[in-house]
Amino acid sequence: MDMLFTVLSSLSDPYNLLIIFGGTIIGIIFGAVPGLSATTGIALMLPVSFSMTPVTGILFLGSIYVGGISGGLISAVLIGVPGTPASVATCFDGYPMAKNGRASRALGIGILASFIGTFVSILISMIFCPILARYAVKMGPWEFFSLCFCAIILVVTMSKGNMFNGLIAGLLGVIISTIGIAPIDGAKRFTFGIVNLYSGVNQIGLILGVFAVATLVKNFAKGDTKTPDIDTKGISGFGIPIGEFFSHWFLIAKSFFIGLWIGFLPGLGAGLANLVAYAQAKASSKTPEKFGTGCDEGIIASETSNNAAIGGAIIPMIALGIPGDTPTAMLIGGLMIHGIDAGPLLMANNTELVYCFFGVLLFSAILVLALQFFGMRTFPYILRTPVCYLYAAILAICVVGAYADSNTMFNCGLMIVMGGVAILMAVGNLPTSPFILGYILGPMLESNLRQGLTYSQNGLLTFVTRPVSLTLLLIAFASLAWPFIRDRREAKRRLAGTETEVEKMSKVFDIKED
Amino acid sequence: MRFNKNVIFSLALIAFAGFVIAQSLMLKSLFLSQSGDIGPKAFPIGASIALILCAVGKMLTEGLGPAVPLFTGRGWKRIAQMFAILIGYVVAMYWLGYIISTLAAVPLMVWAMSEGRRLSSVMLAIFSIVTTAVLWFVFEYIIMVPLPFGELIEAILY
Repeated sequence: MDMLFTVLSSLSDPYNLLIIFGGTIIGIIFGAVPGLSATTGIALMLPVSFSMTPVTGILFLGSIYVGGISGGLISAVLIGVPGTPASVATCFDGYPMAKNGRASRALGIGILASFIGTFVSILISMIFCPILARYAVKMGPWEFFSLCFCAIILVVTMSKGNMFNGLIAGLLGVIISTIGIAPIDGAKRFTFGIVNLYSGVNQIGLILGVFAVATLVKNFAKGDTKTPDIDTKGISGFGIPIGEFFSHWFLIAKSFFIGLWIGFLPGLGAGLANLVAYAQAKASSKTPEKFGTGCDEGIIASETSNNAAIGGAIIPMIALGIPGDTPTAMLIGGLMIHGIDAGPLLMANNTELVYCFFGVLLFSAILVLALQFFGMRTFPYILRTPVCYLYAAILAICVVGAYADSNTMFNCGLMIVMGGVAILMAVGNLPTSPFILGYILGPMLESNLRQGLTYSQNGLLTFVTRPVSLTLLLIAFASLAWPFIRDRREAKRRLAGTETEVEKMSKVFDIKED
Repeated sequence: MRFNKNVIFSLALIAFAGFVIAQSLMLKSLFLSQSGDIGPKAFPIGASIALILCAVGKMLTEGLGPAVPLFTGRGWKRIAQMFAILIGYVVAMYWLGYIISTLAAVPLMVWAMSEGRRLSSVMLAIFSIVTTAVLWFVFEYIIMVPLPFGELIEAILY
């Protein structure tokens, strides 16, 4: 009960309320504008958050996260281009519905489904996080090493495309994380006498470079900077009667659990959840021919699942310190900037902060619901913002944000270098999700490996003689075999002409990551 | 195997991993190694060896087919243009300070990204001034981070 009052008092603080309100609006805008995403929004606002107290900072970043995932449906419905990969499947029925003059209905369904997905998944994560964390505190360095290893391997093998690209990206992240003072013995590594590298490659510089500068420059290079045409005739009223929406309760529940589970698995997130849920909804529908022409079920499945992935991704982040997707990797970065170690001790040592975080996610879900319903008519204005002005302002924020982290121009240079590295990675088909996960988990991986070896008499053997550690390692190695099995199955299906819906849809939009 | 961009990329990765291994071999632990500890070299060396193996794997799998270029020639030109502006912005910020550099860089970025579309110069000027002022206010007064004054400006004034 005390905790409830603490959380409520934090959330009802006028300054915090203003921060949450601002964060949610920023998140919705970043989610809505094609080419930007929740990840870009969090990356850009990380420097802004470190002047705040840890609680206010995490409230700010949490509200951007929820707003960013939920905002993707706006452009998906109004211009047929997903604002984020989390809303790809929303385009399939949302846009045709809007073109038929029922934009309000499409938006209304999407907004309600998003709210249910976020709100209920956060409630579930509030139940599961303490249970998982209770077990996690009993784990030693051996289990933690295996868990980090397993998370990186899962991200690599579950993502689309050549597995070697994912592994290379993860390893590059790990190697970059070794720059600076080594754990255990404090040796200086790869610093080349540069004082600014003693504490490692600066997180803000790296995140802004990889997720903001590189994203914007890539969009510009591909010519994705044109302002879209939007038909505003269909936007009036609130969209759909509540009773009619809930008549699809079984689909809502099914899509919800698909999203929750996919969100829980490291590295998959909302980008895949919406496609799987959509494919499931179509496969189990009595009228599959209506999908793609503007049917309610398609939007419900996509939007419920992508938002349910938020709660799923939060569970390993809070309970184990393992990010479920790229935005949660950023959130862990945000915690680290405030000197808070994400991991199983997070719940024990920072209970107030964790429950404030849950509180803000719930509150932001309600705020998004209200803002999107009552602000429906303003959506076209967001999407009509000339991209050249928007991108220029964001790049200026990036440079100033990188400087503000350590009051040195070195960080600005580092950000530009990391932006260049991210573009080179894109040229080499390397995904950024394993890269950031490798960078975040690299120090944990090394320190737990070295601690594990120091504490045990049997060297590496201890990692396979402890049951939990062995299980995690087995999962990791088994998942390494998965891409080969998947490729063989896909090749067989292609030959037989029986590709799954998810495979077909992934090809259309080339979905890889958020 | 074709000598496509993926092969070149893989070779560059192998060279990078070789550089990391060479640098790691020169590392010295500050303390006597505790029993069982692998020291500061082993982890980066292990990661680099794995990187070499994966780069070879990439070369063997993606070097076989034709590589699809991510950007066109025009795209690369745009990338070079944006990075040149960003580098110029950062250098100008160091010498001339935040206000002058941002007032110059923002309209330059807008102009570069507008690609010949007609821009109102009044609108551009207002946008640059407002962006510069809002960022300055947020960072100086809300986040309390003093933005660079400029080495050259400081040298002239003081």
